Amino acid sequence: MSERITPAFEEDTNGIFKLVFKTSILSFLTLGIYRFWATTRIRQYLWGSVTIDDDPLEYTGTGMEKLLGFLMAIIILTIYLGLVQFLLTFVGLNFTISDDPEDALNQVVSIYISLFAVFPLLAFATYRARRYKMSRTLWRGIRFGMDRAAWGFVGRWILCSIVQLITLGILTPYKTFTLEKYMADRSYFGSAKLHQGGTWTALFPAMKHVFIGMAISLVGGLLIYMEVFVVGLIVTTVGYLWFTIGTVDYGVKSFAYLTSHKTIEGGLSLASAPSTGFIIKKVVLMSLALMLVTSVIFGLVAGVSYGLANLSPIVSIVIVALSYIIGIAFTEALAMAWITMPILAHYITTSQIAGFENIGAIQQREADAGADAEGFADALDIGGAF
Amino acid sequence: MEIGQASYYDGKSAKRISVTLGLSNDRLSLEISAVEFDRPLSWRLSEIRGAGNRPTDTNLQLYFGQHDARDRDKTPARLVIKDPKVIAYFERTRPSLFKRDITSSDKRSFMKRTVIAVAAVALMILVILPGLAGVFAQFLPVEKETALGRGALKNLERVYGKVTEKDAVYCSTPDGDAALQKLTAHVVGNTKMDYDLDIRVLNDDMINAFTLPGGIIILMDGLLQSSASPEGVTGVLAHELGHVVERHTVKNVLYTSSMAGILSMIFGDMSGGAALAIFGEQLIGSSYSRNAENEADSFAIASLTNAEVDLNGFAEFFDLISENEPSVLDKLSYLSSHPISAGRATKVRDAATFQKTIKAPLNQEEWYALQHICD
Ligand SMILES: [Zn+2]
Repeated sequence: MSERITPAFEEDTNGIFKLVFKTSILSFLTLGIYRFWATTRIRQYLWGSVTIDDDPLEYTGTGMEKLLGFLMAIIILTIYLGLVQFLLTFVGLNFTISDDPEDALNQVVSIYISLFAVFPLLAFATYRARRYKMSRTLWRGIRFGMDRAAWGFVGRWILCSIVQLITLGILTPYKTFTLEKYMADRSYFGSAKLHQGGTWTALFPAMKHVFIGMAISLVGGLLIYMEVFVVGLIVTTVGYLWFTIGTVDYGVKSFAYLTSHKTIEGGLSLASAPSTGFIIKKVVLMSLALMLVTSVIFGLVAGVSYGLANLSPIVSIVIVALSYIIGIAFTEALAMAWITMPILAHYITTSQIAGFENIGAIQQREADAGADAEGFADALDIGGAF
Repeated sequence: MEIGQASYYDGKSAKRISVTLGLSNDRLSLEISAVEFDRPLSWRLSEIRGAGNRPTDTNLQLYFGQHDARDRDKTPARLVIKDPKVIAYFERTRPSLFKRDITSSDKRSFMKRTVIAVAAVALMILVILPGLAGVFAQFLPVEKETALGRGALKNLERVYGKVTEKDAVYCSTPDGDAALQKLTAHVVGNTKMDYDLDIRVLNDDMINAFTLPGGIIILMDGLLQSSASPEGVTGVLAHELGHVVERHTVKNVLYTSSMAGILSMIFGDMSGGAALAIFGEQLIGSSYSRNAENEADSFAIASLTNAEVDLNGFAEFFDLISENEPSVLDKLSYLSSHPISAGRATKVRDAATFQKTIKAPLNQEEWYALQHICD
């Protein structure tokens, strides 16, 4: 008889709001240095809100190790980016063929080419950041972990991205599945290895609304091409909206499929049944509410600064800057409390662990020192909400 | 004394052990007893810390170790307490459960990494990239550089054509062109020239001159008008030729684009980082261009000395633009691209004292023709 467990999430809207508000103000005032500790405290809070069989998750990462990892990433990236960007600029100068070289020089050379140099690094950083988060997560004192295999991920990421690009996104499921399988198959809870089952073709049904949106946009484009402008424009807009919501739907459904086909060595398995409706409702409604609230706040800031026009300039600049910082921190805190945390809670509470009676057999694993923490992700600015 | 119930995890497996918590007789240690244990575990109260998040009313996780957060990972045995009464007991008796210290090893590695990071950035920006720019600029074929310059020129003409009120973008008269050619011959002298020089006078009152890739030099009419003598114009022309010969425009593109990437990465996600990155770029960029200006000045001094053109005339041009003579705005336009330090005029004057023979680069009629090339 398989014992099934559903994790719980204790949502404390006020608590998380206060924490994010306070830490993001501190981050501003320290020119961003505090952000490493801010992330740490927010994660400790969120991890601690999750309980599995009444035992909370624990986050053991520290702000200092993140700062050290960031410095390490800066050292390596300075050398890498400096050299690569230099060489690419030189190649760009040699091959630029354009009627308007000023554009070619400024835009092609400095933006696009450096993006190509950064792309593989983004994949590298993504894997490293996930490995870092796993290695700093404990439950019942047992560590999660991931193999040191970021370069293999980079290779697969490049390959899958090329496949995705030349098939105009139709083979997106192949990329989603391959990359997730690569990471899952290298993940552990304690001594128990995870395994990603299933096939990538099974993700195609999840793409249904993406394809419908694409088809509608295509029809709209065709109508515009045939000079039926008004109808064409309306159809294109509908297609675009359909496509956007379809993308969210794909995210939710592919997550559900991938999670439900994960097993843990020793007779455990996972299941997940999140609702696209809930996620879209949170994202759309709460984003609208957030926009409303922040426009009121920033309207007040603008009003205040207008009223200060005849104060001494330094005083009014300080007041405006402070209210601007408070406005941003307020927005970030609301976004966490209203959107990010409820969505995280939804994913967690709609998942299940089966075969739970086997949990006690799982043994501890070695600690992973991980010298750079998530420094690369941080330096390359792909950190995410928490 | 019994305190209450809890779950214990030994840090070796995920197996739950239900335990009873109590105090030792000396009240200094927590006694953890269970049917699975031969004898109770004893945790010194002063070494018990809170793990993870601060406790909620129904959730407190404890471990046995030092303040250092890293020890938390090394000592994975955990006590999970759900009983609000027990949680309240610990919060009351051990208020510093969640206090953390920064260890000296943290401070050391922080200092070390900071020093290495700053050194790596400085080495890259101040030594390696300028060096690479200098070397690689030589490998860019002259035809490529010329094509880039032509393109930039075309773009400039398009933009300038839109804003100017004058009828022509460039100025040219037969006599004026001849005078300009004579000056050019003076400053080129026997310098080996890879480029077909293309020197033009732009119909604008600004006191300025600049160089585009591939040997294109633009003198502005305002510069010709305000210079007291042909020597001043000759000096500026020689200075711009220095930029051409040293390939400064290409070096500058190579250097600034790679430097900008580094700076935007470092400051990218700091609050107000974009402003810091732009500021840093300006600062480093201007120090880099100051270096180029010095090189161009040295070239001008050598070139004028060879051509036996009086360097004092060039120095006087510096005086002129540091004075209040022309409108402040016109002056600023020259200063922004050619930062004037007191040292620059002095350096030229010093070199002038070594000049043995001097002769006028242009006669009266030729100088008149050059100054009136835009009339
Ligand atoms: Zn110059």
